[in-house]
Amino acid sequence: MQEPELPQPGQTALDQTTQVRAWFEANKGSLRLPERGSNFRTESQELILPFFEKEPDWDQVHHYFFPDGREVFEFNLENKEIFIPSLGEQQQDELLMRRSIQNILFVKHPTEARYDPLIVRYYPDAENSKRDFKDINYQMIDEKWSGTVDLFTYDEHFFIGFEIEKGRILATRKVEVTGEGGRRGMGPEQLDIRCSVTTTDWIQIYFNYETKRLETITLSPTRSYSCAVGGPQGEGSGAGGNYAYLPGDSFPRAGGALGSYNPPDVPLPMLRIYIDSSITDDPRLSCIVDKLALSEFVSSIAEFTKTKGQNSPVTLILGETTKGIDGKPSNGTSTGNSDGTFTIVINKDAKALWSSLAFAKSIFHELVHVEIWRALENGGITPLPHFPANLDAFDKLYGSNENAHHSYMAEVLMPTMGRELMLLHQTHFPDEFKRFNAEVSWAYSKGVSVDFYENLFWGGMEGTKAYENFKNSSKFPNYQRDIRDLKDLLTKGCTS
Amino acid sequence: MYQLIFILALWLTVFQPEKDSLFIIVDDCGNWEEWESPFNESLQKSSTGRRFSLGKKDDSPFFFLKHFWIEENERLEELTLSYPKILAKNPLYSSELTWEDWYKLRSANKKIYFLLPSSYCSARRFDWNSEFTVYEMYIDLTLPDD
Repeated sequence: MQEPELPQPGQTALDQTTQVRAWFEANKGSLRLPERGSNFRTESQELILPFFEKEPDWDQVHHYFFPDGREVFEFNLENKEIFIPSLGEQQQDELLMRRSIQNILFVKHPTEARYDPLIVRYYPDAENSKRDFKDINYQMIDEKWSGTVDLFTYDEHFFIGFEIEKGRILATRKVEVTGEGGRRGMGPEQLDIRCSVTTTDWIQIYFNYETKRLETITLSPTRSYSCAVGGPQGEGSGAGGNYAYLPGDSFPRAGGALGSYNPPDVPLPMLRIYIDSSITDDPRLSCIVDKLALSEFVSSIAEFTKTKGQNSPVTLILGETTKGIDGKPSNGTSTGNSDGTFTIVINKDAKALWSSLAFAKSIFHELVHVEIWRALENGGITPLPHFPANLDAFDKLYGSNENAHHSYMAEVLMPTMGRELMLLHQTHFPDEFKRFNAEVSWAYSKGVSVDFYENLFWGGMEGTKAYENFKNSSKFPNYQRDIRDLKDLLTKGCTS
Repeated sequence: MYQLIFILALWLTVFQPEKDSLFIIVDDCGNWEEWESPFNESLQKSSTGRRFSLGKKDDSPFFFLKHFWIEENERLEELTLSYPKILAKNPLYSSELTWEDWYKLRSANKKIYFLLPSSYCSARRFDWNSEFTVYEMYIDLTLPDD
């Protein structure tokens, strides 16, 4: 999914940015609670930084959509005032301040006429992760960026944080102020091997116009609990990896009543898949990827970009696929590289031979592999349904002991994969879908069912116990029929 | 005159009508089965002509040769040739082809014409005056998704 064209501020009174601005001006007074907004320390120990009025720079905006379809406008904050986790030395702190970015997200409510704001702060680990505003946003973090992304509610209640290394989310973090003397009993989350505890001194840096110097205010220290994603605090996440702010609870339900302001759920920061020119140079293949990117399920896993220079941990290319032990190439392969990136290769013969749906199917299959790897690295947080806590144990029970990914796909994901491919066909290739339905009525008298689309995937599941069961089931002859004859009716057409 | 001959020779070298075609005799007749496309009738509306498939009976359940198209502009050809003329095309024999050969042929970007088992394994092949239909077909190999 590419970033849509930016709204141009000031074009018309009704343009989108102006609407956000008008809403903000009318509502910003109700977005915080004065009686608590300036209170750094609370009994609940949640971190609430001192409130300051936020002034978005209305000319600097990213416009994108969360995977669930909600529209987001991310503006830079003009303020020279910023909170940073202190590195201990003034010079280091000033460098961190200069490379940090603080933005305000306005998440358009899907049904109501309002934009729910959140403050996002990007703290790069080092100078090589310093980015201009235009090069980073909450749904566009490149594979070379390392640092911390913290989200706060508009009135500075800490919401959720992510530790990111080279574009990959290593851990979520919660932050709370330390108790008296900085001591506190060990909570269950601290006993978890995936969690680490660090103490952080927050400082507020602002430019003093009278002295014409940067001034620093030291705030009380906080304790950060960083846990591999999926650790105990991950339990607070919503479905599909969304993080919800639920007042009155501990992390990530960070506490604090919020009056009329409901912070929006946010998904995990999204990483990008770069589509190599071997695919984008071919109008048909490019068209297929565009349509695949529109699939709700696929977009919950990945965002595609064709923009040169937009690096990503995942690259999709057309090329030679790895030959298996039998010497036979495959439709596609996905590989985890030593530098932590992934490469999906689709068999270059696809260009001339495959139907458009077959091409989409193979990318889909490989994307699921990559998402499984990512889910494993992220401690199990993924939009993939019913992802097993221990994939190897799952494979031992259901699989082949050779390919746990395929076991999980065959046992659990098959209905989802089939349904999503069917939806893609129905929604984005409507003419072919209609014609196909008419022509296969002798085989699918009530209209083509999800079985056909599952059958397109079953070829990739050989070697699993599920495939063996499938082979002995009454469905197998239909599978053979569909692969033998019905798939011939799928064409190479794709129109934007 | 010499220029004309040179141009003609060049044209024949570059644009040989059969340069991009290949003939395969399906000689291991017992290994294959032939069936009509179940869509023949419905597809007659867009383009007339017989569509059928040839499938290998061995452990390659998804290895087919297809004489199949949907729209008229995708129609695959049929040629009528005597057996000596087919032999003159230096045909390959299916019994000698490995999986890798089939895989390479699949994406060779050539028209591939097949003499079917029903023709080759009949006594007519020994009647050199008989003519056979060879069918342009494509190779449909279902590969695994790794």
